[in-house]
Amino acid sequence: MSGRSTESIRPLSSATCELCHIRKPSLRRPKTGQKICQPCFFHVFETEIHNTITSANLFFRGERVAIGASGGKDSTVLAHVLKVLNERYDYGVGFVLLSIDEGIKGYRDDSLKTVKRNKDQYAMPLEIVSYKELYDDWSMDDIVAQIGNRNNCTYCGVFRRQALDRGAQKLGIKHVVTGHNADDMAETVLMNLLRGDTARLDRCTEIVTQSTDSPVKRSKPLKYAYEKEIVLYAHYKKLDYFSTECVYSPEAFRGTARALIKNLETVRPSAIIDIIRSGETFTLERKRGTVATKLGTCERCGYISSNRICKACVLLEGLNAGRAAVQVNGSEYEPHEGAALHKRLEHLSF
Amino acid sequence: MTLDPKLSCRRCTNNAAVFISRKEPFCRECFVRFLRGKQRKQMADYKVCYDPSTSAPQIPPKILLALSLSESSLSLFEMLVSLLHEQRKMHRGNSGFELFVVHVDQSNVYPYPAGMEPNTILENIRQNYHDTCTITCTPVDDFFADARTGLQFIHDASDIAEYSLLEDQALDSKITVSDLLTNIRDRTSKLDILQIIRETLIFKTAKELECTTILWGDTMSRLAEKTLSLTAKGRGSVIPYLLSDGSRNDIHNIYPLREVLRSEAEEYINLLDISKYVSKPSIKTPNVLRMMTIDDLLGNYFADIEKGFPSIVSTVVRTAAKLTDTVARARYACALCGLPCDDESPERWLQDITVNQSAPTADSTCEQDSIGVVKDRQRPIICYGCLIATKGASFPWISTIASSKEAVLDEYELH
Ligand SMILES: [Zn+2]
Ligand SMILES: [Zn+2]
Ligand SMILES: [Zn+2]
Ligand SMILES: [Zn+2]
Repeated sequence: MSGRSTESIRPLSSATCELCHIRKPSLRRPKTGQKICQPCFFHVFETEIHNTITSANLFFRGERVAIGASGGKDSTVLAHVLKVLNERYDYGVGFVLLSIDEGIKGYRDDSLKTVKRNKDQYAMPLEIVSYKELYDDWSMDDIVAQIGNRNNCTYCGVFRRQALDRGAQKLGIKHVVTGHNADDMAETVLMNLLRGDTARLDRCTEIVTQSTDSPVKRSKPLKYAYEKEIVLYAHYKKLDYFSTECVYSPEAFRGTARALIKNLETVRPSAIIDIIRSGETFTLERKRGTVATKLGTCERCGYISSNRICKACVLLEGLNAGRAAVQVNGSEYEPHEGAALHKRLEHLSF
Repeated sequence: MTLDPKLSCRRCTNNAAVFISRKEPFCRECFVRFLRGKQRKQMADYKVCYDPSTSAPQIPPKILLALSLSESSLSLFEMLVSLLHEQRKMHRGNSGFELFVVHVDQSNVYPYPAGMEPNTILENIRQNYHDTCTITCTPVDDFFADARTGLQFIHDASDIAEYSLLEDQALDSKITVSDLLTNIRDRTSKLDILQIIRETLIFKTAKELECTTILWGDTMSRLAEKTLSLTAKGRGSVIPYLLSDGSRNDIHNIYPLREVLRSEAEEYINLLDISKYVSKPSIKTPNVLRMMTIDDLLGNYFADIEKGFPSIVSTVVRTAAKLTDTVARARYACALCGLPCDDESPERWLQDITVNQSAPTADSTCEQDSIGVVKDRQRPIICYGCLIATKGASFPWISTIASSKEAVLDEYELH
């Protein structure tokens, strides 16, 4: 028994696509459960991203925008969809692919090959900036060789962020779009609640982040796109992407939040956008003082920084001094509870 | 729990420890005092007050305890009774508040184990505590006692229910909450609706009894669960409004156990021998993930967390308390849950990011599909959380943790 009022009854054994009622369905849409055909799937997937872009007034005509391209599925789908939408709706935006070469053997060298092919496939210029050239000849492999397998993502987080900014500045570009998807957004909301990160809780769902310590605007056009739909889109469009995960271990806490998100999605597929919806309503009163932090530039590298020396240079100093492990106390990248706790959290069952 | 008999209480250093909480060993007396202290801290305003001119004791305010007969609400009940006794002893029979207790009886909706039926248990409690409080039992079906409320509710919830069936029954005023719930397929939505009904009845009772304050028995553990569960259900905007102490529907609300862990409340009623009053419906939490409710899932998550990392539980509750209440002065109230909301058409937001149109065909540009959320008729304002709850989304397939291409294709591609 369906138990639903007539206006929302769906065909029980749909011989045709639930949207066009013409073609044969070929997939079940992860976001809604609807059985739909490929053309309808492409249409809704692309239109939702278009709606996200237009309702946030993300681009302006004549703007030059860099796509943070890793060669992975998210940024490849982002580049493809932006090209399609730019032509279909005549945004008049000039897109450039911007890649970071962290220097991770077997991961980044292969994925960069993918990005180089994307450059021709999407007819977009490509700029690659490497950690080695930016950071005193340190590659990520060198860093891990020195500090071991812990806190990798702390380094990568700080270095990658600056590297994207510097790459964009080199190109005279003030706006970078990244491939963060809805699952990433929902996960961040839960993480910030679980670790009490009030500095970020209310802002983490914003589509545009323009932080005081970065000269470049960041935005996330895929913030409402489900990871599973990105996988399906890339597959059916036969997009050329690199599917190996980063070889260095992610933060354990993120793992439990991700598992929780996936479980919630199973129980109720809309949970991912529902969490983002909740996150968008979170508001925190801020103290006046924090806004007025004086901005200067880093004494060492000249990058915008609220401190005398920027985070990247602090980390670099530690590396150069050859210390085995650098404690970045008070850094926003360091979770509050300490690494031991996070290690143990990894083993939590649900 | 069996403790080392040589382990002594860290507070009095005298007695043997009977329980370890937050890594500290407690004897019975110190533990009971420790928990009561936490409750009294939250209720410091309910002291015996004297009129400054006549020095006669003032008339104490009436407060209502929402007693679900769970471990935590029972421990709060006991704490209130002990506070009353103490005040009466110290102030020649006067007290700082007058205690009313309400239980919403849902035995028409859920089966109860024999001997654990709420009316039996409540009768036992009444016999033992008649000198300290007035106990009311409200059947959940009282929700439909006022036929107009019932019809309005069904009308607003018509998306979720077999509309015609319910309407007929309601006209004969034979409608029960059980009828309503059997027509909601999604288990999470069922619990959501039942929760709304229970709270509505508690507020209604408070008004009838002229109580100015409602006390809720939620522990810190439960408040953490609720914070995440409201977030996951798209009801994040009401977290500060619902989970902070303060005014709702012109009645003051307090969570006196907001600093007590669930395990501590459970130990409390064991030590004071009142666990015999626990009354819980026999509902089995399903083992299959996709059959669980969002609350089941978060209950399990926090049960794991509370054991190893109680600090995370308090972090979540403290973080929720820092959120600004943005809906307190909202322009609308949701027609379904009655909670304040500021967005008069959350479906518009949803439609933008969940497009329901077919791909353009050769002869037409963009064909609007008629099956959508927007309806022709003037509909009441429904908040986002209720919009989602009434869609009753529930899909009978299992999802995987890693979204590998093969797994996703295997699951979603039709063959
Ligand atoms: Zn179709
Ligand atoms: Zn620097
Ligand atoms: Zn003691
Ligand atoms: Zn509502």
